[in-house]
Amino acid sequence: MTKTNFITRLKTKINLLLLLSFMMAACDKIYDNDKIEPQPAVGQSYQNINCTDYAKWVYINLHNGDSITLSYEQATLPDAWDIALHRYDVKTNGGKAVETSYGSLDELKAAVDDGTMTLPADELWEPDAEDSIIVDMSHMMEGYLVRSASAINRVLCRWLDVDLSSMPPIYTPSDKVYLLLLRDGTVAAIRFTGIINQQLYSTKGYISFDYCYPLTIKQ
Amino acid sequence: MKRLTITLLCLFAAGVAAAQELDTVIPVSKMFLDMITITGTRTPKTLDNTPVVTRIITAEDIQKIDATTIKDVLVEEIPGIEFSYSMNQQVSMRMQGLGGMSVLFLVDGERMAGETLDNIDFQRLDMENIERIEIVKGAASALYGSNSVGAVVNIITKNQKEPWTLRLGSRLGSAYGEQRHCGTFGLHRGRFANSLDVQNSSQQSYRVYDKDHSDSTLVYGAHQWNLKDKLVFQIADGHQLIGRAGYYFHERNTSDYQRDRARDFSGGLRYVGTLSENDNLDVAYNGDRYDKSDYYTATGYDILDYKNMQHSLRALYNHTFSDYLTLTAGGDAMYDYLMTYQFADGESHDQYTADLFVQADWSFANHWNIVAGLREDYFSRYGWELSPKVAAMYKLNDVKLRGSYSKGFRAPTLKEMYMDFNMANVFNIYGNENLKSENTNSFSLSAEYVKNYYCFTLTGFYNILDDEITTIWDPTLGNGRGGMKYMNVEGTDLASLDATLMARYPCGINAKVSYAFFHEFTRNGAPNTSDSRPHTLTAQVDYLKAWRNYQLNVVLGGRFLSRATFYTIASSGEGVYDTYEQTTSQGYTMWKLSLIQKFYDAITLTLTVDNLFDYRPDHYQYNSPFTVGRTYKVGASVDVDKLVNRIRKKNSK
Repeated sequence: MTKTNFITRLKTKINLLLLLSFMMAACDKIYDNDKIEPQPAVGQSYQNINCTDYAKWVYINLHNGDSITLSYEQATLPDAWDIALHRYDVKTNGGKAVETSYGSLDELKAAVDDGTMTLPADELWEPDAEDSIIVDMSHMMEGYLVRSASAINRVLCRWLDVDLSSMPPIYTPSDKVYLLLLRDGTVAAIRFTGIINQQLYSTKGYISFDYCYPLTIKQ
Repeated sequence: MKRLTITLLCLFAAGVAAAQELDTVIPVSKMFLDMITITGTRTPKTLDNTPVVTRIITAEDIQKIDATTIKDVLVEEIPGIEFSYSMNQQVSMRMQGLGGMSVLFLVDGERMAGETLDNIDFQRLDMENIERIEIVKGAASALYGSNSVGAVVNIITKNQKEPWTLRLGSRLGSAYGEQRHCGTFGLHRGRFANSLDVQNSSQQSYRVYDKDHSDSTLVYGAHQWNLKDKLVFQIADGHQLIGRAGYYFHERNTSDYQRDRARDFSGGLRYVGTLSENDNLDVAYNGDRYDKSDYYTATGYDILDYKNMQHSLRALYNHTFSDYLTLTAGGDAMYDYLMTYQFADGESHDQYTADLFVQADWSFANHWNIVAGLREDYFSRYGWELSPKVAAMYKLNDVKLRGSYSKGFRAPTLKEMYMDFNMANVFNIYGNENLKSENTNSFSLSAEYVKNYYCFTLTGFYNILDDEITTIWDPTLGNGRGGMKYMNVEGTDLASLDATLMARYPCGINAKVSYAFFHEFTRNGAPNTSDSRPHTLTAQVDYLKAWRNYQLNVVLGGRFLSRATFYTIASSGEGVYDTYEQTTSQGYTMWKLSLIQKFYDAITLTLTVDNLFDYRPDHYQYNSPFTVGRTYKVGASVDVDKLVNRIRKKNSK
């Protein structure tokens, strides 16, 4: 083999190695990390509300879109709030809720517009009820969880079924639209859309929902 | 069920009908001793002449098992190896007291990137176009460096030899929606020989119920693709350039809205040359990238959350001074990069490793063979590691006695050094930059007797494991709430005994039984925490009969795993994990009956009854077989090249 031939072959091999290395690095392009945009919502939406802390409630004002996170032990609550989230638990500020059969806000709005969907009867609305929530998971390995008494809205809590029969638990969203009758008599429609922050390594406990407020429904 | 039984009977009847003329009985091979092995010494040696105890699983064995992945092969061939589920149904391997990180898996001598809960992705290792699998038990860090603490499993792929080959195959199962489809296309023209393999397999999610229906487990379904290409270019006589490329994709149905995905991209270039009658050189580059991502069904987003990239260069040189002495010298260099959701803020870490090793292989006095070696490894994030070994063999007529001492080590991984992971708000797991390597001093003694149709091997292993790397509860972490931290702990002594009897009769009956015993000697009165079972056994008996146009092979194989009683760490109730609870794993036995028919040396039909005796665990534990009971499989494959050649031959007459 001449020296020139040897150098040519060596160059070919080095080029092939560089090509292989480059191709491997280029594989990042197949993922969506840089392409994520907020999902379009019919009305408004909240994306990735941080509900990871078991010791906190996130209070949300649907009237102006504000939210604030407070300890479950906080005695003084915000002046105005409509709905609050604690992990996957939901409570209302003196409101009531109904689960509809609709799977999207579009469908619900269409049904409201054409009169198929009317305001549910009074007895169908369910107010919050006294219950308890988990506020400390750190003793799980010792066989107990710390709970605290709290009101929750059991209808709204149906948005996510958590099956603890296997580990990790299996989370099954209902994908239903919920109607929320606020204390001031106005109505909101809510559809929960996720429990995971896709931009933060799929951490669970980040809740997203679309909502439509105010919603006018014929009696 | 009835329809399936009728189908099976029809297929069997078709086979008998095709058997028109008796051919001669398949000759008894020279059994196992003319097999070539490379893993024990990194130089090709016959199994008969290697001082390192090596178990070879041939392509024929793999076909009898009808294996899809390496997992299927190991559980049916090697007692003492068990695959179970760890958290979130991730596959976890245990081998006689050692975990997945203590067994080094290689493909044609190359390491694999990526891990999940301390195990490589075993689904990547599909069994298409495999020449053989070599298993060397005991530490082997003097040749292979980190991770070769308990064993080295080296998967050797086939080289294309025929002018062209095309094999297409499918297999369907009666349960779990199980399917497997594969194709292999090979072409050999002039100096080029290429082999392309594609395999697709899938399984649906299913639920298993405890006997009293008090509990149930949803077993996640999954599907995967495996593509491999191997191109060999014969530069000149004795000089080969081998190119390799691979793609792997795996998707697991963990929930309605999310899928776990894994991908691997690999490629390599290798030069293998005979420089002179006494000198051989092997130089290779290997790149391997393993990714994990979450796919969201609603949005279609595919989010990368784990990336491990390894670029390695290795060189190996052999010089034979005479028929009695061979010297081997080599070195490796590797760049290891890891980005994972288990690091704080998704950051990444990397490190460089390099090593040099030498080995002498000396035969003398007609009966003796001694191999001695030394290796020094350097890790940029950790430091140096020296690994010696010596192995000897004494041959006397039909008996071979082997003995060895070797050092094994497992360097702390980037994950173990830099982890900072919130475990579902229960506690955090922290890495430790000051970890030392986990190491073993491994001793083995073996006796082998080979006579006529029989081969019997008895091997004892004793591994002294020190500085074991594990997570320990530290109550001072997490602002006084406590947390888990990777630490070195004292270690333990692991003793095992393997016995294997193989028989191969001229009438076509083959049998092999392997038994493994395991015991852990803990130190300072510590409780036994190893969930490895004390007694395990694998057995296979098959009958092979060939006629002119028809070959029949009936294979009965099974395994037995005894129950295991061990202790798991628990909390005393004060938030301190300082006590132990006794736990028991159920023992079980599972058997499989296969009928493999080959028509015209080109069409293969495989009918399998899996879990023959309809075993179902009373309660499904992490290490139970997640079976729903007896199941059936039907597989068919066609060697198109053999069929075409046969037709051509017939037409030319």
